[in-house]
Amino acid sequence: MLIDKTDTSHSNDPADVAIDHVANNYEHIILKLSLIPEKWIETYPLLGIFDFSITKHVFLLILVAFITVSSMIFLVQNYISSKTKVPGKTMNFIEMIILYMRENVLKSFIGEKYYKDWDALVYTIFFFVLIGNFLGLIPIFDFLGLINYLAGGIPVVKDLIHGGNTVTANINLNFALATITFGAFTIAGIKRYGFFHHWKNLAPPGLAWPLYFIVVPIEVMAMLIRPISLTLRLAGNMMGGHLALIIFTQLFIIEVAKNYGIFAALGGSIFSVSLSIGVIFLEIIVAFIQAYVFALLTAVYIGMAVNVDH
Amino acid sequence: MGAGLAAIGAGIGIGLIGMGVAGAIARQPEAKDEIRGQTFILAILVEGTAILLGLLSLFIG
Repeated sequence: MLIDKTDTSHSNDPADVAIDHVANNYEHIILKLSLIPEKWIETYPLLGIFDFSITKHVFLLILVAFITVSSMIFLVQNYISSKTKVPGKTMNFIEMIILYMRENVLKSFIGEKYYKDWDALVYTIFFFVLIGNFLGLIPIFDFLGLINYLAGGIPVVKDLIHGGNTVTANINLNFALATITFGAFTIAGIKRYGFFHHWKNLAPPGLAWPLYFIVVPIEVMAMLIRPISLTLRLAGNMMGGHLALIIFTQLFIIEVAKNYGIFAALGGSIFSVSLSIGVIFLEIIVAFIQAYVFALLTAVYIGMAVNVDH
Repeated sequence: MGAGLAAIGAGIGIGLIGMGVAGAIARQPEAKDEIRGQTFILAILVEGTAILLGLLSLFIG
């Protein structure tokens, strides 16, 4: 992140730099878009749900959604309209992923009979999270910062540069995704067993009746905690990786430069850059695994709701 | 410190899972795929707890 000299709102405190890099930024809003006057939100913070301003993370979210949808449509259209029906390189790769997911995740956890209802959801979640994770690894915003620095301040770009971040490190977005999963496995159970039977499935039948006072609350809590654990797993993994990266690169250099001068920081940067390259390789693996895990757990939960009898 | 403790717990848990998986695959190579699927779920659960605690220690500390 290049330091913008005209912007004095940033401190050089390492912790502030790290948090500013990872968290959503409400000070630099790209497009103000509020349904109600801002004064109302200031007095009643709960009304903030009507504030649709586009911040850094909202911008990233739109970008990720656009890339996901358009790349899939483009690839599949290309494949369908081609005369030879030979899939290209990217198409082959995506086919490989989808085949793997279908054979190892959907068929084994949801079952041959019901997986057709839910496969689209699982694939969509996988590719959305995957592209979100990978887009965070590409320092587009830092690159924009370089352009802004060279051009001497462009109005729209100036609001965009404050830290590149993974959109899937945002807890709100992950909770929205996990809510979709929650709705999906509830609907899956209701569709299979009917409304009342689905909730009866929570506790196994045939226990002595006093036990139900213990089993039912535990099962309800286990059900409600699923979206929360999904949220925190993805957000924690993504945020942790980025924090480690920032600490290895920027904070290290800032601290050394503060205490020992600029030449020591130059020497230390060799060490920190080589460390951060290692972290980036780890992050590439983690990005893949977390997308897979989110999709896998969606399938597992749907499977648990659908196949209660074994 | 909290993060360190969480890492120790997760390390032991995932290590135990890995040990079990290596033994299971060595004993029954033909059941490799099924074992791998189950491993993932268990490892995810262990890891989830660790991450939760790590995040907690990050926000409290």
